[in-house]
Amino acid sequence: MIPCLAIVRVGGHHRRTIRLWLPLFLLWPLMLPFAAVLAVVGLVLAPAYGVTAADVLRTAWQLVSGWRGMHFEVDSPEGAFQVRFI
Amino acid sequence: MNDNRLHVLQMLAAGQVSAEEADHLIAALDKQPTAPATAARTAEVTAGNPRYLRIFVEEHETSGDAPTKVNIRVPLQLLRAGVRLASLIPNGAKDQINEALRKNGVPIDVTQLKPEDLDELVVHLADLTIDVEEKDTKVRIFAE
Repeated sequence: MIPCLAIVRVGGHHRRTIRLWLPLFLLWPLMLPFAAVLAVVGLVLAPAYGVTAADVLRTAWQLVSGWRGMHFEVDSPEGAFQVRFI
Repeated sequence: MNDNRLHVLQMLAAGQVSAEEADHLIAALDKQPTAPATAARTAEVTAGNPRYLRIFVEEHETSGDAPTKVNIRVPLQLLRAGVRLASLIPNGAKDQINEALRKNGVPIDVTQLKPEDLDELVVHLADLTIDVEEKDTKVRIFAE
């Protein structure tokens, strides 16, 4: 399942914390035309490189959906930064 | 014989419950696994198929400030997708990549990367925990 939400938190121990909820589910429909073009290009070029179209599509889907659950956090005396993909 | 079943039989022997009641109790115990067994089974299932690679780094500053902490959780699905992407690279390009890696001192052969090998590696990652502890730095890597 592709990630639908990205939560970004930037702040520090003595600073104001800014928290952003980025609705990725609104971004994906905007990316559809570009994804369609890339998919067509990939499907056309795949046989030329000896790979199947199904492999290309499956790999592309896994690359996009694999981000769900990614969590990156850095907490230092100077500041804190956190990104989560849900 | 587990403790709960033994306790029911002891109650029956002491006359605290009838035979019919003891039978109902034992049947109920047989339907529901014990909590440790459930937890063990859950751990066993989870251990067989870890889903995330976790990396913790904690570095203590020499100036006495709060430590710097890094917490990373990478879905193993993303790593699988990366390996699959490597399998889509044309053979001619793989040779060039291998040459470039060798020049930079990285002895990895991209042509040998296969998704099946990664799946097997992921299963064994469940038993792997790396703990590195130095004077001011702690690193912990494991799969969950």
